[in-house]
Amino acid sequence: MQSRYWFWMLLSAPVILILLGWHMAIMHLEGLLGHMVSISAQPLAWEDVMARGRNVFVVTSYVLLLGAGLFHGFFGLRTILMEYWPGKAAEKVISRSCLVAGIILFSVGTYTTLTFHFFLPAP
Amino acid sequence: MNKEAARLGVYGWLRSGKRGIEGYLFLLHRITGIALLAFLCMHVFVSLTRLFGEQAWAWAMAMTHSVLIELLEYAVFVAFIFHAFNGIRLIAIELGFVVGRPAEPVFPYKGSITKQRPLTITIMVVAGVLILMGGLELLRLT
Amino acid sequence: MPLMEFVIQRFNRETDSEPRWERYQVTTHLGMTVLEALHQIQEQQDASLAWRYSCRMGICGSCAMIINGKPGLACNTQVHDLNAPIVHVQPLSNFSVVKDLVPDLTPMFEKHSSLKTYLVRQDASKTEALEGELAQSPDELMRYLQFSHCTKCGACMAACPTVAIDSAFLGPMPLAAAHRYNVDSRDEGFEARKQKVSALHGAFSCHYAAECSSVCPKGVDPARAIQLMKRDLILDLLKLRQKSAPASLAPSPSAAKPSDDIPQAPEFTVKT
Repeated sequence: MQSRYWFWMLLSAPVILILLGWHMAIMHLEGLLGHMVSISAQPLAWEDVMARGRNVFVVTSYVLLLGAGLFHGFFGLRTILMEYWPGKAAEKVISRSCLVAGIILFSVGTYTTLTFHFFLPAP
Repeated sequence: MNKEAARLGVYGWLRSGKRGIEGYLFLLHRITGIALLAFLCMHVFVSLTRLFGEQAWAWAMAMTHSVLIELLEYAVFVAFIFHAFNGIRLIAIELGFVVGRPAEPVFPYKGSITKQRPLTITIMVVAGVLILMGGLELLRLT
Repeated sequence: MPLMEFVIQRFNRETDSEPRWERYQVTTHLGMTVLEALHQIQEQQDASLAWRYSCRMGICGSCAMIINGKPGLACNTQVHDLNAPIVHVQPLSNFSVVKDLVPDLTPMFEKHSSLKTYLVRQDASKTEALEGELAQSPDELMRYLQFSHCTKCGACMAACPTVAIDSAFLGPMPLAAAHRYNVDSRDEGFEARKQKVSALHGAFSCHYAAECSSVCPKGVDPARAIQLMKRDLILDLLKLRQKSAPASLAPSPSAAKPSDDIPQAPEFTVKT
């Protein structure tokens, strides 16, 4: 079973690399990349946030990024914690806590992203 | 038997000294991974403020914009670049691509560590360049 | 002859509550090893000093210990090569201490045995009693020969950062041994070992810090073995692992006809 989880770890890595790399570029690297591609100078301004929230491509990417990122992060955290606290009981607690925390954060994040997309009134 | 095994523990990682590059990269990969996860958890909640309208969003943006926060954001960027590129290196190594074929050992031993060094150095240089470029952006020198 | 100071970790559970350091002055000579220094200390200064050794030539793996912070064999480490006026000697990390420089290696050997580190044949009866030699080509031999040089000294276990925190982790030596048998063309035990090796605290708890390979005194490169094993496990998960036919019995030498110019062997003098 661990082979399977570890394989998903490997798969989620390039997904995060591409989507998070793009997200970082949009948010922070306007100065460097603005000469080559059109990037908003004020990505955190309300209008820009709303514009991205209406874009299906952006919203889908965010949900994918959140899912992949949370899986990758919490599986990594689970690995580290299980190495530090081996033993059947500790392993159950750690696995379940990481799963619950991941699901809660994914739900909150997806709700934020999709609600914004689906319920924002058109201008 | 002495029941307390002389297991070095996490403190031992820091005290060990005399590591090769790969040992330090292993430690940094763990530290940056935990830092990025902590950042992600916090980020989900900051982004959530936009559900409460423009004013709530403006408040959240005001709270999260200061020199210290910008430096911390740069730290997140550095952590991401390191973790991503070291991760690419680890994927190559852990799938057995750059560790070399088994060969009869002849002293001085040249094994997988020697075989994967060029990749490690290349990846660290690329990551270093990207980190510097991010630094230029931070200092608004672009 | 230059004098060097040896600072050695001592522990006697009958008298000590925790380890302590003791200092000794040792008269060194060119080519002297740490093992010889320990003998000199025991013979001339402190007969109670305890450590393991056997072959004194780097083939048995008994004298593994931490010398100036790095795991290695005492018989293979020349004192002048350390380039330090003071030599710190401690027992291997991550193991309980029996006495002084003697670690309790039992957990490592138990993990090793749990991985069926012997040739396993599909036909269980054949595992114990093969009818003859199994054929193997030089290329097939090279796939595992490097990993068979392991002397089970435990230096890799002392160096590994995962072993340092995780008492359940199998460790570089057992995992490399499992891989040595997995890729041996005469072995059919991959499925039998797979479960344990791919479980929690198995091969996937290795994150290539490569400290094991850097300290191995025999050049076994356990880190290489473990990464190759992880590749095999992932290929097996994706059902892409190539399964080669198991090694067949090599033709018996008695079936071959000797050349005409080779004289006959003399009769046995002992008649059975």
